[in-house]
Amino acid sequence: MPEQQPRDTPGHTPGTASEGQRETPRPTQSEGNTAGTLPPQGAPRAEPAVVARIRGAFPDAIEGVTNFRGQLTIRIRNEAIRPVCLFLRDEPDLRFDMIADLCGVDMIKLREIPRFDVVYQLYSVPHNQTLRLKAALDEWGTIDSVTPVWPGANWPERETYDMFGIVFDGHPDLRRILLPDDWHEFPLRKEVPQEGDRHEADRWLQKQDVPVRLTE
Amino acid sequence: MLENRFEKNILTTTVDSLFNWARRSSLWPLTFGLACCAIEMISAAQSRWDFAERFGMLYRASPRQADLMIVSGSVTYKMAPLVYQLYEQMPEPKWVISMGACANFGGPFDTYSHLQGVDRIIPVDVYVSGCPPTPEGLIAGILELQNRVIKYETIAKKEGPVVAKNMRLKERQEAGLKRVVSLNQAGPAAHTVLVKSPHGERQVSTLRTGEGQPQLGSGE
Ligand code: SF4
Repeated sequence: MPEQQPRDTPGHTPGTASEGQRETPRPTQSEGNTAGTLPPQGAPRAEPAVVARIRGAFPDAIEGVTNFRGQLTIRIRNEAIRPVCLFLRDEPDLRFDMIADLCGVDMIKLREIPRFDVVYQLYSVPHNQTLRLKAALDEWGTIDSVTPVWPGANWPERETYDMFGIVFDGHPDLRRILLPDDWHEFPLRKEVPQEGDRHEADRWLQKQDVPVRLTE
Repeated sequence: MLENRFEKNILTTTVDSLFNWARRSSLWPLTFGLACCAIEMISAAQSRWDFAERFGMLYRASPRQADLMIVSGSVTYKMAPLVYQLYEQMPEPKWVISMGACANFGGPFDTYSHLQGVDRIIPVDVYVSGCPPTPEGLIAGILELQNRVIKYETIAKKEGPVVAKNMRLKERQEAGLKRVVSLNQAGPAAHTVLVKSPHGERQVSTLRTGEGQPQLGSGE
């Protein structure tokens, strides 16, 4: 079985300088990333095994799959995120038992609706594999919290709420984590300028009884 | 009159200069650091530069025992009430060194969470520039502050911040900076804001020095 990079991998441009390197077989290429669960790399366009497993258990949960340089990203339907995460954590051949990170993205410059993406970086310690999930939600929508699945998602979800105002349904303690509790904006939303609303911030300081020289 | 009427080892001086000499020679800074500048402040206090021992400084863990606050690093809005509270807890007379670009004017963090200069909430005596300032820079700031402390008028019961402010204005005038608006001449260009706090009402004023000029006054 030839162990070559499939030619039609997204992001692969034919004729680039790395072409020569790609020709040499790299047997370890498939280790350490999601390709481990994939069928051998010689079979282009084959669906990665983890995608097939999810599809088998939740036929309509997957909205799209991208595989960029061996980084597998699966887009999951909003409502299906928690059962899919439970499934990924508990299946003996998947065992994604660690959430390495969770964050939000404001996609408003790229698409109108739905506005936000939540990105989950998963890692399977027993199988040494990584996986990225994405789920979208609307500005006034919510998404199921995965804190019941991985307790480590607690603070990342609070941070995502703090920065974007994304509401995680079923989170045990959804408060702001970095900014003060009564802060006036969600600073990483695209409509908030980098410097935020300084006048509001001054007002916040005055509420704390700090005599502040006001921003002009 | 008193000259030459005592034996050796007697020195005549004013109480003011005696007190100020003592104060200058034992500035006790408050132990607290806010960001990366704090690392540089720590290294300045460690064996290589050892500025604390040289200048008779002793880091105190309680603001009640400190008379110098080194604001070393970024002051975020969330931290600002705490910095202000620590400053208020220090007994008079007290001095403030603003260390690093962040504490001076916001530095690289022109962002939603960052107070654009600690002098927006507390009066600052000496600004040390740099990101971070070297220990030598901080030492220069301490020396500069000592020069300032020795001029402090104790017995006259002048208010510290007013003295410091007048001194700053005077120094600027001496340095040839034109168009300085003095404290009492704040014209219509100055904003004055009343802030209520548990300690009573305070006036927060912003002085302008004229069109297109940087602002030299600061809030009290
Ligand atoms: S001035 Fe530079 S070194 Fe100092 S706290 Fe700010 S970023 Fe850090």
